[in-house]
Amino acid sequence: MVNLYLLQHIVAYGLISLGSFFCLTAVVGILRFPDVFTRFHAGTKCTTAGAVLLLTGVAVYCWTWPVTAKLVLIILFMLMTNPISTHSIARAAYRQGIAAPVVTVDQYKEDLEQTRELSHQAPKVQDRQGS
Amino acid sequence: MIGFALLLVVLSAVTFYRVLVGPTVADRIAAADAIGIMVALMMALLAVHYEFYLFLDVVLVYAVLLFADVMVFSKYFERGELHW
Repeated sequence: MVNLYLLQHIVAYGLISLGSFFCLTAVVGILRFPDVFTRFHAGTKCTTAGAVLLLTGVAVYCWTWPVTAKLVLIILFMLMTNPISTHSIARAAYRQGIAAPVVTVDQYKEDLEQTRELSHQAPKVQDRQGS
Repeated sequence: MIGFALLLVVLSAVTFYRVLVGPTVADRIAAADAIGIMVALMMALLAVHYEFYLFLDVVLVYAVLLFADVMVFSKYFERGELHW
């Protein structure tokens, strides 16, 4: 017979420790990376993973229906909103001209130029159709 | 639980260094976002420690306000003014 209480606590403390470790890596990345976008990368990924793991650990620790339902709501909300907000900040930083000092492949710039060319071509096509 | 909460306090205090001396505005906003998420996690841990589960509602509202806050900041710094 497996001691369920002990197993629940072992899983909960393991998940919470793993989440705290991910938060630690996020802080190290935010402090130590040389560039704006690499700092975004470290911050958002490790913070999302740490939040999800730690809240799952809390949900396993107190395994009752209202608490677990609320924690599942919080986990889903953080999974949705954290990448969106960081993507928005990164887009604002790129459009403000805060580019990385060493960029070898800038695909966002290529995409922007491509859409600009397409939007310049579009009225010509309409003129041809009109004339 | 209170030990993990204290670890998160120390981590968010260390992250505040990036808010203070971040070279660009985007660095400061991202670091403040990370601090806010850590504070939300801290509140969840304190809810378990004090067995006062009303804190979880506070965590949910805090996450919503953090998202709205970061979105408004990024829109403002992208265009210079708020276009809704």
